[in-house]
Amino acid sequence: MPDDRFPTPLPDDDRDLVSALRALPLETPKHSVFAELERELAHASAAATMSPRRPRGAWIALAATLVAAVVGVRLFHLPSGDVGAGAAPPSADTLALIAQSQQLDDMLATLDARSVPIDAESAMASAELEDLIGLTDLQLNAVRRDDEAQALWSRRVDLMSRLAATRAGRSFDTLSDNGGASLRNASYRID
Amino acid sequence: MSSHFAIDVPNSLIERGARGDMRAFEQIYRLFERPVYTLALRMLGDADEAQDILHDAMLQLFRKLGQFRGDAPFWGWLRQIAVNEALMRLRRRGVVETVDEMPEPVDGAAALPEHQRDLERALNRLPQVTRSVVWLYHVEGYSHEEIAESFGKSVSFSKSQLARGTQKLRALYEAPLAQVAYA
Repeated sequence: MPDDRFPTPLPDDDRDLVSALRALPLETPKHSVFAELERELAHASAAATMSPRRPRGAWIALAATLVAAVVGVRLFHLPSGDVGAGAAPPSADTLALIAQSQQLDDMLATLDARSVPIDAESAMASAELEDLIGLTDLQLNAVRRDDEAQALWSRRVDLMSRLAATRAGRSFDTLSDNGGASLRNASYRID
Repeated sequence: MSSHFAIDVPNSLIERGARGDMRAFEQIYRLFERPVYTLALRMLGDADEAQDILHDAMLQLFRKLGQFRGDAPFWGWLRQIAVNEALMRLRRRGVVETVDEMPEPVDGAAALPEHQRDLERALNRLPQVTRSVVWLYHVEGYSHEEIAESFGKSVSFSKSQLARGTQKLRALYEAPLAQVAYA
């Protein structure tokens, strides 16, 4: 009679280990992200209808400047009785994120000025990140509450950091003729 | 095919999604929500980051849907988008370290049979890149060439990571059993 107190021992054969891996059930996310996606895509669609697309680099720089100005004005100078009535000025955390975002803008401008050629994979990754930053900027344009603004600025800083890392990493690879080692910093080991 | 991604999607649904039909996109999202999340969770080992990857991969899917040419299965195309997003996240982390501590079980692990919970824990103790290679090869059915291309590494990198990762996984999985047996 089997002893149910102990887990099923794993046979030595790799095939059994692989079967056990494949038998692991699907995981379920904490919540669906579809509603969030739908909102973002609706914003992007509306913006695309209203204005022609600018070149990516210029778009980011302009968006960052405009968004910072718009959010700052809205959060500091919302007229009483407006939808934003009762909205507090940007918190210290939000202002810190805005400053951090602007620093990353400057860093990216410096990287762009170096005009180091990047490969197709890096270019594609950069383009995708720029698109996500664009979406975030569109959302920032409509934000009225500080907690919402803070979450969006945090996301923008995150995306900008990823973009800077992608560009800086690829520049390094290119300059060092490292052959496109995508995970060049992966100093892990198995003992 | 063992991959949970292997779901046939009607061409008409893909075409509607490519035209911007949100209801079609929602149907596609519902079909692949759990496979994308599970893949990201296995590669990154973090529920919050897996949730982010689910979001980013689905956003990419919608934006690129018009580029799908149908010369390969749709699910494989979407899976590669998810893999790329997860790899981009790993790349952003920069340094990938060996996990020495026994992590908390991931979502739902407590409800799993004990041997599956032990296997999940063992899997989560592998370094992230190694774990990704093991998962992509053994479960998703990637070839060494495909893994090498995705990671921007050599085929020998994929082979060595798989061999050492599988060996390590076995050792980690069997260790708790031995401790229990000899306690």
